[in-house]
Formats: sequence, structure tokens, C-alpha cells
Amino acid sequence: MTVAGLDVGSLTIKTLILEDEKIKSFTIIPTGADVNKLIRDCLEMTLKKSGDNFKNLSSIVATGYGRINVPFADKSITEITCHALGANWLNPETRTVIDIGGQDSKVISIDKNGRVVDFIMNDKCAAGTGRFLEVMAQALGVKTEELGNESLKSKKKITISSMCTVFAESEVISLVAEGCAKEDIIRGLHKAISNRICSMACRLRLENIITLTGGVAKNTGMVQALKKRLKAKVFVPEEPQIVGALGAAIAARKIVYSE
Amino acid sequence: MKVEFLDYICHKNRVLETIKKPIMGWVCTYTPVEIIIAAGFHPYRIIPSTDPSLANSYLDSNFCPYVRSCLGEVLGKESEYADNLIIVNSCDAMRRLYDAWRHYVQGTFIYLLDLPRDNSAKDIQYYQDNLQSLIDGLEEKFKIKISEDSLYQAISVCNKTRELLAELFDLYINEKVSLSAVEFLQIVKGSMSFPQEEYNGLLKKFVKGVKIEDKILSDDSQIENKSKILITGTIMDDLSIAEVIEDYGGKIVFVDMCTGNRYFQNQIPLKTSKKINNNPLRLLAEYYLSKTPCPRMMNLEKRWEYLLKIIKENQVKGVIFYNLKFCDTSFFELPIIRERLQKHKIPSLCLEGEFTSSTSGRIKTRIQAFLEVLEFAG
Repeated sequence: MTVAGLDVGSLTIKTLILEDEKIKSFTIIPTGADVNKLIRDCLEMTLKKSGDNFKNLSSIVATGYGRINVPFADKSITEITCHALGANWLNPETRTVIDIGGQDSKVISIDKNGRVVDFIMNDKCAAGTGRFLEVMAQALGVKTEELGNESLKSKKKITISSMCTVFAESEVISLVAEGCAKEDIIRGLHKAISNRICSMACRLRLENIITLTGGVAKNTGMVQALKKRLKAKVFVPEEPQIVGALGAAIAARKIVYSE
Repeated sequence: MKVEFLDYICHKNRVLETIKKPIMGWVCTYTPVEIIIAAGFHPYRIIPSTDPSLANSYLDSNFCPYVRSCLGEVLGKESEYADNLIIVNSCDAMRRLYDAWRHYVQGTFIYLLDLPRDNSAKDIQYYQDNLQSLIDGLEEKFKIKISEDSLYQAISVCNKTRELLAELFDLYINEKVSLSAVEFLQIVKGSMSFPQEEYNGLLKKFVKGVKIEDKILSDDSQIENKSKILITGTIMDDLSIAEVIEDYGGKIVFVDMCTGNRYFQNQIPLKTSKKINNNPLRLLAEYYLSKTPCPRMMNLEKRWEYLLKIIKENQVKGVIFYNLKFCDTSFFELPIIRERLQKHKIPSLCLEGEFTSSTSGRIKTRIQAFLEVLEFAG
């Protein structure tokens, strides 16, 4: 059986094709103004990669902020449920999921079956999210993908006091003006975000293993800062960005089974 | 008929037009509206539609958004209800509203009523004395006389409203009539601002009407397939939350808010007590201190027992805490209460309101995810 999961996030669209127990293909593209077209394009690309076609899909589930904008999906399910399903599939030992996405971050407690027990979400502002890091990378003239490796070079501790994206940006700019090293600033930023995430996470009961999902989990410096702060067993999937889409595909499969 | 009724009671300007008496505003359900009616005023609950940030120059932005919205509603505007207002000191924010109102809005009769936190004999006596002082204040300011008879009459009018709302709630909860949670809450809200006697007439007709119209529904209830939700908190500013809950397959079975069950759940036992105790103020003091309580009136243990009772009586599957931002009274005990609920295998969700209308995507995602949790929990 072949199913598709679509995760329409705030910064990227992810589509994934699941055949039985195997991820056949996936695509990640940035979102834009014409979301509907981009969603279709993204799915087309993924289908092309795996040599499938739309008609062969037994079921499609959409998740993410734009989940209701997918007219051809059989169901829309929240990203909370989907991240839980995806993380459970990738590592059944997962009891906590920390997802740091483009515009929000969430902590999800799950049971051994991948069911959500409790969750908490922060999405009031860009602080502590992927978007925050993007803005900071721009201010420092570093590519977002390079933030992680840059921060690992750091030798000196710097504390970033403001977590508001706008204020932190000006703080970063003044640190640069004071002659602070880029890598030290980046490490300071990672620490600030991990503090913020952890204080939110601690409102739930944190149990091992903690699986990190979302684009920010690709940032090695960020993962290290979180590990240090959480003092827990942390699992980072190979492709943390597609966990939501994977969960959606698993949910799509469940729909077929229950029919 | 439903549409017309809702349309009639929900238009703020039209409601204000139907009011012939001078208006006395109120902001907390511990305000004895019976006294306002007996004094010849129209009690009008201020449920503003103003962006709270308009009052930010006068009250800090980390202040109760309901209070800021109330102040913003009357500042620098011609307002029908700026002149007379009774504020109960049910929380610090309310006291500051009193201070700010007196200072910036001024008005004719701005009164602060002190409310005890418990309902012992001493507390009841104390509250009764405070009610007497309120009456004295009204009589002196407006050169009127508030008779015992008029108080009894007002009590019976308010009793009627609460009784009708309780009857309608019963029909709603058992799905005997086609009434959504939002519609029901609109009707409750309407009863807080509409002229009482006329409202009672309209509501009575409405309840009777829906009972006949929807007779067929009684066998067709889908209630068993829905996740039963208790929503608890302060004031429900944004009714569309209830709509989202219903859209995603939830059924609100108890609205533990001052714009919900807390407002109509109990009535004043008039017939039996009149002979024994001849003081209507005593009856009012007893009623207000023993009615379905607000979180402000309870300590942790009492609130926990109270919530557990509602959960058991209504077979609640999930609890949604809906509180306005910065409400210490409601937020303080939440971590402990949530932990206890988890031990009882009752999932819960915390939502924060900001007193701006329109449910944002983030609230929708939380509610949908929460209902998914309940659905999978089976």
C-alpha cells in the first residue's frame, strides 16, 4: 500500500511517500505566496522520485499550519499528533518529542504506541524558533546551515539576554561591533534558545528518550546545547524535518486500515 | 425562530436601545444585580469589544485584558454605562479598574463592594453588611428608597432568568434541541445585558418553542460519540472557541465560567425561606457566597474536589482551562491541578485568552490536537 503525508509548515512544505514499512521518497521545498500550487508541485516531485503516480495513492493526510489548504487530502490532522506518530515510528523508545519548527516549538509527551499524552506549544512569537535563527544568521552574515558547525568552534561564553527576535538582532549587532567572535555569539544564541525550550519542556514530564524533530534539529550546535541543558538521552533522526510528514503518512495508512 | 431570537438579543446597540431605565454597569458575577434592579436601575454587564491595548496608557500591558478592555471601552467616548458602576473586589485587577475608573472616567456612582472569600456564618454576615452599605450608598446618592418588597421582586425576576437558562442548558446538554454551545453561551451573555423582565418573557417563549420544534431530535442524539469537555476558567470572551471544540467533535458539557454555568446554576430559595428569614439581604448574601464558585473563592483542595465532582457527574473526558492572560488567581494552581488530572487519566489543555475576538490558528491547532488526544485515548 502506498500513502502520502504532507506537512505544510510556515517556512517549508514537506511531502513523503510511504510504501508499507519503507519511506520511498520525500521532498522539502520552501513555502511561498501560492501555497496551493507549491503543495501540488512538491507532491508531484516526490511522486516522480519514487516512480509513483497520484492515482496509486491509497490515502493522503495533511498536517502543519496549512493543513486545511489541501483540498485533495483525505483528512487533516494536527502536527502534534503527526510528530508523535513519526517519532514513534523512527524510534519506538521515544517518550518525548521536542519539535522546533520555523515558527513554533512544541514539546509532546507520548506513550509506547505513539499516542499523545500531553503537549505544550509556543507560537506567540518567533523567539526560540527556526525563524529566529534565520534572522540571526543573516545579521551575522552566516548561512543558516552553517550555524551549527560555526558554533562548535566557540571558545568563549557569551550570554544573549534578549529573546525577542527584534531586540536580539540588535544585541547581536552590537556584540559584533564590540568585536566578539561570530562563533561565540552563535553559541550564545543556541544557549538562549535551548534555555527557552527547556523551561517550556519542563512543564511536562520529560521522559527518555527525547526525539528532536523539525528543521532546527539539523543544527548540531543547537542539538548540543539542548543535550547539555536537558541532561537526557536525545535521539536526532537522520532527517528531522520530515517527521511531521512521515507521521501524516502513517496516519494515512491507519485510515486505510480502518476502512 | 432561533435565528431571530439570537439576532434580537445579541446586537449590542439594539439592546442598549431597549433599555429605558438608567444603566448601572457591573463586571463580576458576584455583583448583586437584584439590588440594582430594586434601586430602579438596569443592571448591564460590561462585556466589551474594545481592543485592550487602547487602555495601555493608563493600565500596564501586563494587566488583565478584560479590565483593560472595559476601561478602553469608556475612555474618551460617550458611553451609556460610564456613569454608574459597581465593582466587586474579586481580584486585584478589579480593584485597579475601580481606581482607574474613578480617576480617568470619573462618573456619578462608582462603587467598590468588598467580597469575602469563604462562606462561613461570619462571612455571610459580613457580606450582608456590605450589601446594606451598598443600599445606603445608592439611597443617599440617588435620593431613593429601596424597599424590601422591591428586593423580593427583583430576586424573583433574576431567579426566573436563571431557572430558564438552567432548563435550556439541560436541553442543550442532552441534545434534546438543536442548539450549539455558542448559541447557548450567546443566550447566557444576552441575559446579562438585556432588560430582565422582557428577557424572561422572550426566553420562556424560546424554550417552549424549541421544545416543540425539535421534538424529533430526542431520539437522534449523537452525544455518545463525542468527547465530553469541561471548560473552566474566568470569562469566555471569545465564543468561537466553543465553536472550534464542536467542529472537531467535542461536546462541552459544563462551562465553569462566569459567563456560563456559574451564572445560572443556582437560584435563591425564595418561597421556603421567606417565612423563616425576613431579610432579603440575608438571602442575597447566602446565595452569592454559596453559588457555584469562581476559582477566586476556593483554595487548591476545594477547587480540586469541585472540579473532580463536575468531571464525575458529567463523564468528562477532557478539561480545557481557558483563562485570560495574567490572571494569577486562575493560573497559580494550574500545574498542580493538571498533574492530579493526569493521575486520573484526564487529559487537559491550557489556553490563554487576550480579549481580542477571532480565534487564531494557534488556538485552533491546540484544540484540534487536544481532541485528537481524546479520540485516540478512546
